[in-house]
Amino acid sequence: MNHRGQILLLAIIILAFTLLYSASHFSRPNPRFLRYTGELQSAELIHTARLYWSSKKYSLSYLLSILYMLSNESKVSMPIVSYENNYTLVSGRKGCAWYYTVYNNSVSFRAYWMWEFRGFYLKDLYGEKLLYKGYILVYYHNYTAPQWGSIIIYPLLEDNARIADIAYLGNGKWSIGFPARYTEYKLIDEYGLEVVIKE
Amino acid sequence: MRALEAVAISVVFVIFSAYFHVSAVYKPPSLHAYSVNRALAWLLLRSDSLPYGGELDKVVVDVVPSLVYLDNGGSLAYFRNSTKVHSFRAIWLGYNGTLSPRIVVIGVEP
Repeated sequence: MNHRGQILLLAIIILAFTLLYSASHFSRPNPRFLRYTGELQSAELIHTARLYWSSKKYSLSYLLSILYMLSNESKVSMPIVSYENNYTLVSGRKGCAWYYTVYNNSVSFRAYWMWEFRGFYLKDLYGEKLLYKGYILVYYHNYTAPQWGSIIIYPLLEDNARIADIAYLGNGKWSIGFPARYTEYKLIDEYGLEVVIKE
Repeated sequence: MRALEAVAISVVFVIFSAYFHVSAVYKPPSLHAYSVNRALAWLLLRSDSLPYGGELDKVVVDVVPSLVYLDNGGSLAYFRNSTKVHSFRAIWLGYNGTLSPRIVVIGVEP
C-alpha cells in the first residue's frame, strides 16, 4: 500500500467513527434496565413461595406463571425453575411443623415451628375462670439462596380470635396460652401463614 | 513489504475494534447494581405488604441513598435531579394470601 493508500485508509476509519458518533446522537433515548441475576431473583422466588403458603387459593405454578409474565413485561430476568412443596405437622404435647418449598436452583423457603406444653393455668375472663393451656412456641422463617446462604427471621404472630395469650420472649420464642378445651389452635404470622398448634 | 504493512494495520485495527466493543458493550454491572439488587431483595424478603402501605418511600430512601425516583405501581415520586439514572425493578405479587401484583421501579444514580 502506497502513502496515499494509507492516508485514504486512515481517512475512511476516521470518517466511519465520526459517522457512528453522529448517528448515535440521532437515536432515540432508550431506558436501559440492568440485567443482573442474583439476590433479587432469589428473593422473588422466596416471596412467591411465602405467598403460596399464605394464600391456599392459588397453586405455586399459577403464582410463578404470573411472576414470569410480569418479569417478561418488566425486563426482570427470572430463572425458569421447578419446585417441590412439603407441609408436615407432627402433633402432640411436644410437636413441630413446617411449610417448605425448595426450587431446583438451591433457593428454598421454610417456615418452621415447634411447641412444647408447659402446663395449665386459670385465667380470669370477665369474672369467669377459664382453664388455659400454656405452651412455649419457637417460630422462624429460613430463607436459603446461593447468594446469601441462610437468613433466619422471626415473624410476628397474631391471634385473629383474640382469646389466646401471646407474649414474645425473644429470638423467635413465644409464650402461648389458649382455652384448654381446644385440641388445636391457629395463629397467623405477619405474612398470613397459619401456625397451628395441635395435640 | 507494503502488503505486510497493510496487514499489520488491519490486525491492529481489528484488535482495537474488538477490545473497544467488548469494553463498551459487555461491561460488568457496577457496584451499585449489586448493592441496589441486594437492597430490593432485602425489602422483598422483609415485607410482603410494603408497597401497599405508605411506607415504601421512607424505607427505600433509607436503604438506597442514591435514589433519584420511585415508581410504586404508577405512582411516581422524585427525590433529586440527575442526568444519569439506572432503573431497577422488583415485583410484589401480593400480601397476606391476596394476589395483587405491583411493579416497583427505582431509579438510582450510579
